[in-house]
Parts: sequence; C-alpha cells; structure tokens
Amino acid sequence: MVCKELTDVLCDYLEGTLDPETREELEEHFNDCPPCMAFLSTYKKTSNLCRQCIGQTEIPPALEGKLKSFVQNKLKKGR
Amino acid sequence: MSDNDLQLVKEMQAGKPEAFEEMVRNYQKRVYSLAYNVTHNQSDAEDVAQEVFLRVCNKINTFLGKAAFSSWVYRITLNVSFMKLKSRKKIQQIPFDDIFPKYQEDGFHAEKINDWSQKADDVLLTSESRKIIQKAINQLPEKEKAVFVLRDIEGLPTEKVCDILKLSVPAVKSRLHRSRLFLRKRLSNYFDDFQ
Repeated sequence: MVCKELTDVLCDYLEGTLDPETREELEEHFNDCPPCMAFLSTYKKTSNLCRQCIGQTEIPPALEGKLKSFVQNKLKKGR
Repeated sequence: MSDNDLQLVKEMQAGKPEAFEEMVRNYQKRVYSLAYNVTHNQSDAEDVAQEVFLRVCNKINTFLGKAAFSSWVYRITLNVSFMKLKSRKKIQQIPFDDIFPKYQEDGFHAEKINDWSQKADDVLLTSESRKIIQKAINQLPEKEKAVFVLRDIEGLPTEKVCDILKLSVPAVKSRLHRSRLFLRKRLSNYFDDFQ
C-alpha cells in the first residue's frame, strides 16, 4: 500500500467497516510511515476537537417551559 | 420507528393535546442541540426549535411513517436551521479544492505532515481556537455541514444519517470524509502556525 491509497479507505477504517485484509495492510503501513500516522492522528483529532468545542449544548431551562406553552397555545388556537 | 413514537404519532394524528406535549418533552433537547450546532447562536436555535414544533404540529397528518418519526423531526430541524442561516448575512464559503493531501507520482506524500494532535489539547479551551473551529465548520457547504453535524457532532450512527437525509451509505461517507478533510486542512493551517 502507498500513502495515496490512505484517503480512499480512511473513513471505512475508522467506522470499522474495512475488510480485515485491507485493515491489516493499512495498519502495517501506518507502522512504517510517520507522515500517514500523523495524517491519521490529525484526521481523528479534527472530529474530536469539533465535538469537544461545539458539541456540548444544553437546552436553556427557560426554553423548555416556553416550548411547552407555545405548543399548548397553538393547539388551543387551532381548535 | 420505536413503539413509543408509533403510538405518539397515532395520538397526535388523533388530535390529543397531551401527545403533542409528550413529543415536545421527548424531542426538545435533540431539536435544540441540532439547531444550535448548525446555527451556533442561542437566539436562532430557540427560534428554530419553536418553528420546528409548530411545523410538526401543523403537518403531523402528512407524516406517513415511511421514515422514522425522529428522522422526520431531524430533517425539519435541519431545513429550518439552514433557512435561518440563509436569512442572516452571507457566510463566506471556501472552495473545496485543495482539501486532499498532495502526493508524488509514486503515491508517497509530497509535503510534510505535522502531527498537531497533541498540541491541540493544550489550546482546546482558548476562545481563539474555538472561534477558528466554529468558523471552519460554518464554511462547510450546506450538504457537507448537515452530514458532519449529524454524524460527528451529534454522534448519530451512519444509517440514521442516511435515513434523515435520504442518502445512501456511500454518499454519507463521501460527504463526511470531504468535511473532515476540509476541516482538517483548516485546523492544520492554524495549528501548524502554532508550532
């Protein structure tokens, strides 16, 4: 396997859907190729960073009550 | 569709007010979270949540159960969120070329790849790095952003993302991969300078 083939299979590799033979070949390549290992680490880190930075969203407590009243009012008007 | 959602939909279609209230209770956190992760603005996300539940109430009789109810709600949330974004000032989008690594003719890397993944932990909580990440996500084209937010931010399984967006598994994986490559490139520009 050469570095260029990495980008074609990276998504499947991380999803765990790569066939065992290709997976083994890819992991052997990672062990021998620091640039591909660096690419893998930064590719994985990108998703993790995005999730950590923006993915912790709590609904404002006031909104929960507001949505309930909003829907109740709309239903009353609709009758 | 879960048995609980199936029953809930039947009751909403029969016009039972308590079913609508239960639906709001069950979905408000997911709707708000997705709306916020697309718009990155609390006030916009609140408006989106309100509009989503209004549409669900008004259109419940058009829901035929071909997809899961939750997928239908997610789809409405995405549509309303992107409409909200479009009503705001135009976001500068960066062309999607140049996201792939460069290779030599023999297939090996043609440029140095810095491993900034460890360095990123040290700067994660700075407001500057948060702004860089948020800006990069906002620069994703709509179709890629929808897949990235659902899969990598909301953490939904690939099959669920397919159901929500009515896309095949290869199409979702392709958009996800392009999103990650784009974001990786943007973050690399930032973190390479940091080193």
